[in-house]
Amino acid sequence: MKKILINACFLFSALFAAAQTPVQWMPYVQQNGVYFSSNHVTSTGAGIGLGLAVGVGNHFLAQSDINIYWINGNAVSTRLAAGYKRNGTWAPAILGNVSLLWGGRTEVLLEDGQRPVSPVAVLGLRLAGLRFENDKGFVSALELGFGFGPYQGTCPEVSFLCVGIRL
Amino acid sequence: MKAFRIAVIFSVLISMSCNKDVPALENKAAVLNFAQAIEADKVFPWVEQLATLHLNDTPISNEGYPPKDLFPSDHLTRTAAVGFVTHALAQMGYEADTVVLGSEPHVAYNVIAEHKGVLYPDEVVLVASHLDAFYGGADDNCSAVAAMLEIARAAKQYTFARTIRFISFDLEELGSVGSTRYIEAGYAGDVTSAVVMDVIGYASGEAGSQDDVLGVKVPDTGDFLCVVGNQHVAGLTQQVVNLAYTSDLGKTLGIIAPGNGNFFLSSIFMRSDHGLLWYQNTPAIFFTDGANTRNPHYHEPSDLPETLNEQFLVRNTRIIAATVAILAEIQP
Amino acid sequence: MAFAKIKNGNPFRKMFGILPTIAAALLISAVHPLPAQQVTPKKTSLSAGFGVLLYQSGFGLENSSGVEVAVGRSIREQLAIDAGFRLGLNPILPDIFLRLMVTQQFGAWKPSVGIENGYSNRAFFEGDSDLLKETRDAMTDDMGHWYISSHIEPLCFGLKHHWDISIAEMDIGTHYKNMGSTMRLNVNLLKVRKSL
Repeated sequence: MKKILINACFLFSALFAAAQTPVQWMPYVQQNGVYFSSNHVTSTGAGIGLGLAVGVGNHFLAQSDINIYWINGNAVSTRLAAGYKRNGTWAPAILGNVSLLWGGRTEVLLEDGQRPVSPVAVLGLRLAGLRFENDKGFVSALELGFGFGPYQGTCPEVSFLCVGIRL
Repeated sequence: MKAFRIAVIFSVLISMSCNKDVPALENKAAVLNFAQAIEADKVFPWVEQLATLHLNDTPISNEGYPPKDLFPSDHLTRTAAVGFVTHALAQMGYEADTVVLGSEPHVAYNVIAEHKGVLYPDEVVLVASHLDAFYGGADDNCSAVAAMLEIARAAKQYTFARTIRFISFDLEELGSVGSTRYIEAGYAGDVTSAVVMDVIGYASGEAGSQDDVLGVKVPDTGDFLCVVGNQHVAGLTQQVVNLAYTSDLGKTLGIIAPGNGNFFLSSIFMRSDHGLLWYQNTPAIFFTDGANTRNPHYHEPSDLPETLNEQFLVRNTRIIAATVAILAEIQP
Repeated sequence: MAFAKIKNGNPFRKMFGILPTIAAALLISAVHPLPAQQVTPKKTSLSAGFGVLLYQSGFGLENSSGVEVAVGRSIREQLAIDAGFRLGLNPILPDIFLRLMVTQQFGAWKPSVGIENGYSNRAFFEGDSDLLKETRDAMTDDMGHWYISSHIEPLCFGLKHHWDISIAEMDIGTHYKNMGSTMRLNVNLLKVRKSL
């Protein structure tokens, strides 16, 4: 699993490097929630995130953000995502992402008393169907994501609203 | 280049993710020896005697606590149990005392007895169970009181570095009243760590007999003892689970709540007499069979001794005894 | 072991049941051409709203309704600061807050996301019986007053004459002291704003 995730990270950066067209940088703020549930780790909450989106050309989009969640301790996630977006005012996107979940969580120990891995790495997909762009930035509402992680973990997530400014 | 750097950072973080190993346990032989001093035929008679007392006792006033689902406040008894626990500890040679806190109609009677430590007598390890119960209360909480009494009996033959204070809290069912008042009044100022037991006698080998706990996945067969800690006792929780596993003491499931446990979802693990200790960052480990997430007789008239698993209770008592020996630093 | 119960039900279930309609409304309002995009943005605004505040802690869940008024100021084209005052109605207790908002505009749709910092006197837990009361009081007596939350205005629409209307604004946050132990959820059911 670790090898897959590490390869995914470098694939994102390779796609980015291969682009020849101009780049748009867009810092953003979002309110989101996550629920990672597995046999040994439960990490969940809702809160706030700050990130940087990069648009390359008309169709390539990458994002990286850090988020903090409250309900079950102070959980933190760092996310790296990349994918395809439609060109136009209505600019829905589909993104593959790698997330690392840190911080507060409920742990169920392994049989011999070992603690589960930390951070937890999640590989997933996110759909941004209500995403809109203009020359000043973007808005994305109700982004829905789902991922998989260790210990038969599943990770549904939602970004309630995300607003970015084009630099 | 920026993207490559971000990818490298993420990759390093992913590759650094790791399990945390179990801390080494000193004096393992002495700890196990104490656990084996628990006598199997002594535990269950306590359960039967206490449950009978509860069934024949007069319920206390439930003024201010209207009954509702899982909370039959009009069937809460404790008076006979206070006398029973006091007498049982005195019969073992302890100076049993009662700390009376609060005012009518809900005065709390916490019964205490101490086994003095030989190296650090001013450092106290609290060993707690609550003595009030709904109906017969065989699982909740005659099972834990029985375990505490048997550990107290066995401890008389051993010496420990720290003082062990056995305490049966009152009025836990009204919201950890006895323990909250005890701590708020300053009686726990010398407590360095605590072992709290609540509902430890019910087990089932059937698939589907165990529910998840407020979104936290656990095995669906309810045949294990939950060993619950927070970040302050994470290492101890690991040691207890590892000891039970490697020495075949019994089947356990270790759970570690985030931070000190005082968060909305993880607060489910604070619902007993260790709650305020966790909040105040006093190291405390909690043992339970999962209560209403497993036991269909929880807070019901059917919570009777015949519904419990005697072998399961004895094994749990040994695991808890081992934990006490670790915290109090049993002397060879 | 003892348990607490949720008081006064869940006022948010209906809101989440109408998501498909909201999604359609957003699409329509975003692509509709609006001459207002070419108008110079006003710098100062006044807003007033009504909402519900929910506080959750380990042993308590409380809700109360309240009203809010705020003064807003644009600091750049898509950045604004709001300073405001909330008054809880049951019981009557105040909050004050400061928000930094990032805003975009697509047609009539004007969504915003921001960070709010505030001082609240509304963080208290009473419960509807004495059950768990002493323990709850012992665990919430040092919650502190300062809080941080994320604030979203997902359904804010521009009307004529520099009026905006916003529904279902949501703040999710916690207090700084014992961070994460209490969760604060504020939903502004309706807010109107006038740019001056």
